[in-house]
Amino acid sequence: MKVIYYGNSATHTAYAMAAIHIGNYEKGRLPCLEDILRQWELCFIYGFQKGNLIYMGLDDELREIYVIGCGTHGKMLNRIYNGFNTIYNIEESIHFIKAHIGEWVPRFLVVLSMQFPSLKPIIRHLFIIWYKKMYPLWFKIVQREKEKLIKGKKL
Amino acid sequence: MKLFYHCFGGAHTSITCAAIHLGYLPMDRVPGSQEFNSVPYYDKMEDKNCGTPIYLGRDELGIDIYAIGLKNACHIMIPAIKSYLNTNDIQSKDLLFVESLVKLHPITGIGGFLSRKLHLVSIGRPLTVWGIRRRYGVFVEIVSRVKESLSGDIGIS
Repeated sequence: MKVIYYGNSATHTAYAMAAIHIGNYEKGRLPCLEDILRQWELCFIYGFQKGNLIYMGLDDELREIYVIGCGTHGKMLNRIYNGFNTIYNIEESIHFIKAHIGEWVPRFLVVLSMQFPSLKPIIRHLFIIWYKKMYPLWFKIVQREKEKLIKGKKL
Repeated sequence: MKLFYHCFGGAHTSITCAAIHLGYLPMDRVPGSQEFNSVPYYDKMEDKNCGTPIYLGRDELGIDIYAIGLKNACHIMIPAIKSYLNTNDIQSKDLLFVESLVKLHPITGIGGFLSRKLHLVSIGRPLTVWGIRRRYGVFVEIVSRVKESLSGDIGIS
């Protein structure tokens, strides 16, 4: 099975949730500052790239975890992928997870940082605050989705 | 090889191009309004199904012809499709996307909106047909160019 976290951009919420899903961060604990800053760099460099399905890794049930930035076209992407599964007889199922919560913040911060490079240290700090606020929420959503996947498997 | 004609909603221009390609619509003249009604899937794609590829047939070169609506996001969706197929070990070089979004008279857009969004088919559909018939030559040109390039690629003259 493929699990795809999709959002407006792949590097914001989708990336963080996928990283939680595959267990990159210690369970239930905030990632270290270095990890948060690494994601900020990612947002800064690749935040505007869309349409690339990026492989993140395998989760504990050996499901393949991906992220993709698809603008506001998540539902359409879902239909496209299912359509191509039919065309190419791909039997592997896909589970889509919408990862959009708080996404506008890093997008805004990246634009702000590009406009005012001298403010970059302050903006980076704002990113860290945002990340720490959002993390528990992401964690909860990922756990809920994982439970859904397990229930689906049992059925 | 698979060829996808894509447009905004996957209901009119992409279906027209695919129909010309497969010979459902003529290349040498502008078809009558009634002929459009017999084209499979013309003005049928619902907005909620947009993105679903529709198979229309196989052409004389053995290429499968599809129509698909990608809204205004083809620059996102085409790489997304190719990267998805790559993850499934499917070569995306055997996949061709042809944009069939031709600039039509605004009346055509209104017709499409009435028919597909507001479900006023009896008013909307004739307007779309009117607009497409007006610029039918452009669609024929797109398909001719595609066919020419495909014949060259495959080595059939």
